[in-house]
Amino acid sequence: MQLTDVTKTFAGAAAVSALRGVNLEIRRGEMTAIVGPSGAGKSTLLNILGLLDVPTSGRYLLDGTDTSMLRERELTSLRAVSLGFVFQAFHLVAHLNCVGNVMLPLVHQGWPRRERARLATDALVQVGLGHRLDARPATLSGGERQRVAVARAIVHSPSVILCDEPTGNLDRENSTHVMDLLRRLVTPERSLIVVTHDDTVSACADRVVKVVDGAVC
Amino acid sequence: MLTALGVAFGICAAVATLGITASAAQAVNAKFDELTATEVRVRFPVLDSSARVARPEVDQRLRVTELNGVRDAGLVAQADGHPAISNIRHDDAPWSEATVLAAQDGGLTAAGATMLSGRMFDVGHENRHDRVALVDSVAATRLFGEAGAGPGAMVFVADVPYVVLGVYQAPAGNAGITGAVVLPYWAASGQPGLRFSVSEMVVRTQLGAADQVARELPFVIAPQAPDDLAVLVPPDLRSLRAGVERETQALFLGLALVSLVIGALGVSNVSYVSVLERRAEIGLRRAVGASRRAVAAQFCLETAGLGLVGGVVGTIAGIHVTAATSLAKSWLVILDPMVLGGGPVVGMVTGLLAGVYPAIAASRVQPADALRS
Repeated sequence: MQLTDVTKTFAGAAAVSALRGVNLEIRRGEMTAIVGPSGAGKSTLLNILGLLDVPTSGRYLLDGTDTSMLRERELTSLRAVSLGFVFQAFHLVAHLNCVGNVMLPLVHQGWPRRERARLATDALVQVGLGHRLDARPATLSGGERQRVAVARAIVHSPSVILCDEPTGNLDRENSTHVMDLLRRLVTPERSLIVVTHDDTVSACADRVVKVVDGAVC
Repeated sequence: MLTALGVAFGICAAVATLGITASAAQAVNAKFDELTATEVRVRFPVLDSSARVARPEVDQRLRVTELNGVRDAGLVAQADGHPAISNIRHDDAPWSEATVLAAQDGGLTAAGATMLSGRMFDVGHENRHDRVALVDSVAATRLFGEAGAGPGAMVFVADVPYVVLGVYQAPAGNAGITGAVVLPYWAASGQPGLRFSVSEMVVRTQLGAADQVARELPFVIAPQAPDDLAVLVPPDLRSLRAGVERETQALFLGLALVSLVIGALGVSNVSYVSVLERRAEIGLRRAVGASRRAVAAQFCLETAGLGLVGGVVGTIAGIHVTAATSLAKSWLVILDPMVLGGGPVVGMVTGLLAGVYPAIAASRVQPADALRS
């Protein structure tokens, strides 16, 4: 992943410059923590890295593809195949059980139903929730919910997993478990990017990127 | 599920409207056919020196009844003015509002009279020139009080006594024989104080034969001058009824449509609120690879499903309303299979259309914004 002179400005009555000339390279097999004070532009940077938002200017290469040249549908396809997300608020669909939630990324990639269920089950077993396959999110603890979210992020074997404050809603013990889990997901073929305020999380990272006032220090 | 109720109401109203009007039409049709649409009247010209048609003859009835499609027929003549009628001779205050008719038995039967008591005229009364009379139930009450006319009662028409042979009831809507005192047809040739200048041949036809019989009658009755006869065919009540039915159906279908639109707006509104509430889910789906089209399709499918449920519930309710109404009115239940199949389909399409705007709104949700909230 390579960002070259990326800026992001939010239009409005008073335009806000969230990112200013960011140059950043993230290599495979690394865990990178993005830290910085609130409002510094960490989440904006993560959204651009996750193809959830597009830069106002600059260039973003993902696995050698210049994403600024892609149309929205192509960005969506690339996001579906290459990226996995873990959010602070978990964002599990309440009316789906664990397997249903985890197989969501596969649904939009056209996987057969049986195969989707198998892969989702494998992912849930991998995060230690093989015994809660049919449970609804409302019946799970915070730590379990985040582990379901992690399973959803890895079920389609993406090359990058992006986490936005993954331990923000968890107590210390569950934070440790989730971070251990996330750390184990980093392989030579897969990188992990974590936006965090938590020093213990950034301490696990191979590399720490600090964002201040929209710029990478 | 409540959101589907609006669609259910609309579909129920539409199905019930179509069902009830179809069932009612069947009943109304039968009534019209029975009472009115099978009656043909041939009016003879007023007798004067220029008339080419002679006074109606008694045996003309026989020629008319031989026509195909004629069930019954007979001559009916009406006395000019309102002769004095009483149940006592030389009454100082006779009843002068009644109609006095001279009729063949077939004429009275063809006009729809049914005997309540006593008996109808027969050929003997005609041939012997018996002074007998039939009295309508309304006239009987007026002349003889609530007890009515007993056997052998006398009625005086222009101070001439007639024995009451029976009391009949006129069909609803037939003003010609309602409240009348009817004498045998021989009286039409002249009785003291009575002058009959208007004569009609009343013909009762079989169902659907009225028009054909009406065309043939003038040639049978007066082949030398068929154009001098005025043939009164019933107005095409079936087409009139169909017109009224169409108007009624259009009115109720309009109301059903309004109900359906309100239901659709309800579904649309609730679905739009659902989009706002599920922004995070939409954002998540978009993040994990759902295209805008896939998100829009999901919401359209959801509202189409709601519409389908509403359509099925509404159709079932509409069938019950139609059946209950028909049962209460003793009508035959008539439901078009197209309506039964169409109800759920219309409900689904309504739901689908109602979901278009929320679906577009959902597809425009930006995943980054939605996931931040």
